[in-house]
Amino acid sequence: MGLDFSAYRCLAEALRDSCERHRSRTALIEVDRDEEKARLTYGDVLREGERLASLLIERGLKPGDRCVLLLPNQSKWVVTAAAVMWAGGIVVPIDVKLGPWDQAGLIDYAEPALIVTDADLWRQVEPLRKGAGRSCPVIFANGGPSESSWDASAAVRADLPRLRDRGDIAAIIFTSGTGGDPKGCMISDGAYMAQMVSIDKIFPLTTKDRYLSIIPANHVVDFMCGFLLSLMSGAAVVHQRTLRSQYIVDTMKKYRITCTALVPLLLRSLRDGILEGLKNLPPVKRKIIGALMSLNRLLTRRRPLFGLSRLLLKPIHDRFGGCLSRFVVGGSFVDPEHADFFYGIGFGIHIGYGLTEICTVIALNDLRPYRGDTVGPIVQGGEVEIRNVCENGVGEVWIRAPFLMSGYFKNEKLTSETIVDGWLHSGDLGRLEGGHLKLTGRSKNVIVTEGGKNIYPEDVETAFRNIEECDEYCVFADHYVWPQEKGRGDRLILILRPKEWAFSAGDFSEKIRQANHRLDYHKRISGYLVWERPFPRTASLKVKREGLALVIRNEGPRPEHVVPV
Amino acid sequence: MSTRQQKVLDLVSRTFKTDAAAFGLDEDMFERLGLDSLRALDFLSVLEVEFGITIPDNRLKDIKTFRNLVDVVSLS
Repeated sequence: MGLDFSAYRCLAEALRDSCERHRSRTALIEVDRDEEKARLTYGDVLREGERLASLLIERGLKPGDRCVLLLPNQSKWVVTAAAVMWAGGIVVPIDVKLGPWDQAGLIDYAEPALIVTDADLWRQVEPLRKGAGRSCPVIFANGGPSESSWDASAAVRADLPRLRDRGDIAAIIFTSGTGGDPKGCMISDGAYMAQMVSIDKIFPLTTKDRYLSIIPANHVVDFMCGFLLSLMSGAAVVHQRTLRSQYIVDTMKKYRITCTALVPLLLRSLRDGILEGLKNLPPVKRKIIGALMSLNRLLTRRRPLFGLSRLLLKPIHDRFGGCLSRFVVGGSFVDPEHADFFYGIGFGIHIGYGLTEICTVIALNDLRPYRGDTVGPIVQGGEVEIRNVCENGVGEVWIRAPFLMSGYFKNEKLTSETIVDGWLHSGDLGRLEGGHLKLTGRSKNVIVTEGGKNIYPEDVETAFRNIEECDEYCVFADHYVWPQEKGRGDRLILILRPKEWAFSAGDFSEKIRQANHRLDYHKRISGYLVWERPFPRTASLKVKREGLALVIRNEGPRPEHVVPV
Repeated sequence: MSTRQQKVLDLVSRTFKTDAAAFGLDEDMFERLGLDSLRALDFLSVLEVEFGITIPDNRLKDIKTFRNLVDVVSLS
């Protein structure tokens, strides 16, 4: 990485030093489809960032104030995040892919001193905001009135960067945009520094790297890799505004991308593209490539040999520009078959496991050797304990690390329930296998889709609460109920117990369908299952989700009994 | 059925090797075609080429049914 964090008091100081050090190197390239929109050197980032930091201070941002970033991935996102840190503020990124109601709710909850956004986005969100915080100043990165423009001039202050301490909060990252209490994870400067040191041992970036930023910058993986780690390393970050596969591949080729971070859905999409290309080859060529893939697998079984793989499988690597060697993949369950495919054709697949609560990752595959069936060994500085272990060695994953969050924003109760004596109860189930962590399921209720979206079943359930025929209901991912069924993704199903009279009251599936269609697309259930017995409940009358899933799995209906909606 | 509507459905049929004429305009396009958001985005590119239009990625949020799809094409 090049920076020794022990020499710095806070992220702002280290970031500024890195910009000085790499002044003439390319830091950011922004592309929209095939058109390059912006290119900034580290010197430009420093100049623009300090001007913007001065503007933010001029508009009222004080040390420790929160500044919301509601922007799609772009150069201005990175410069704004750096500027907030240089101004001594706390970065609060909001997912642009959430609906405007969720965005407005999170912004209200964050009570920011300032908001940086695009005029197009803000037009939808602003009318939905409530409360006194509505009056906070807004700066528009694109569009909007000139007096509120991101580009407005400001005299650069002499006191930049405004230094903070390692224990101060650098960012608040929300884990979900759903109803109920939002969970804003407060991550300190010190936590980010400790995490960067540990990731650098496995996924080091250098000045030779060009990182493609695809997943949203508010996501912990891109926040780390596409912002902090890249900028601290002197690497170049390329932002592609579209997720369309043809442009992603073209961008990889044109900008000779060396590494990127993906969610499993994107991994699958890239794999499908490669397979489609192979399918169209003449049979002889296809056979030759198949043989070379087998040879590559054999030669790289102990460790990756990127140069050799590129040579052996040149046509495939040329499709991605010939420089791409490493992916970080995480965010949800990674299909080992997809990961194996990419490793087999000579790409380093770093499957990782992380939570917003632990900054970025606690385990990351180090490729020594590659394993697609685990989430890798525990990263430096982190500790994992498996508690309440069952006979097969599976238990609850508890985590302790210097990069643990400081707590949930405005929610001490939830913080004290989640972090006990310095250990974070991850809510996931797994076991340690030869130093590697192997996850077997999630014991917490959150459902992470293949696209990396978090869904809280309680949130989905509220859509069905007004169906009068329904006595009890509970939402699951179907593979949670039937984990032994192969090929099932994270399809949501509703388990419901109708009121007694409702059994003879006729079909209520239309009401379920209507309620379902009021939900955002990614939160919709794919079907429902009628369960006639009362749900198992805790002393405080919460449904025992695990118990209900278990009883259904062991005693009754099969996936084919789910009624589609 | 308008010509544009017909052309959009024909393109759906050709691209996904299905008979879109059998689908209701208000049916959920994602469920009917088994699409995820990335494949849907790629399909927007196919529409762009066919109709000579530009559809920004963020318009995907407005599309749930086949009717929404036709509307997005009409307004682009």
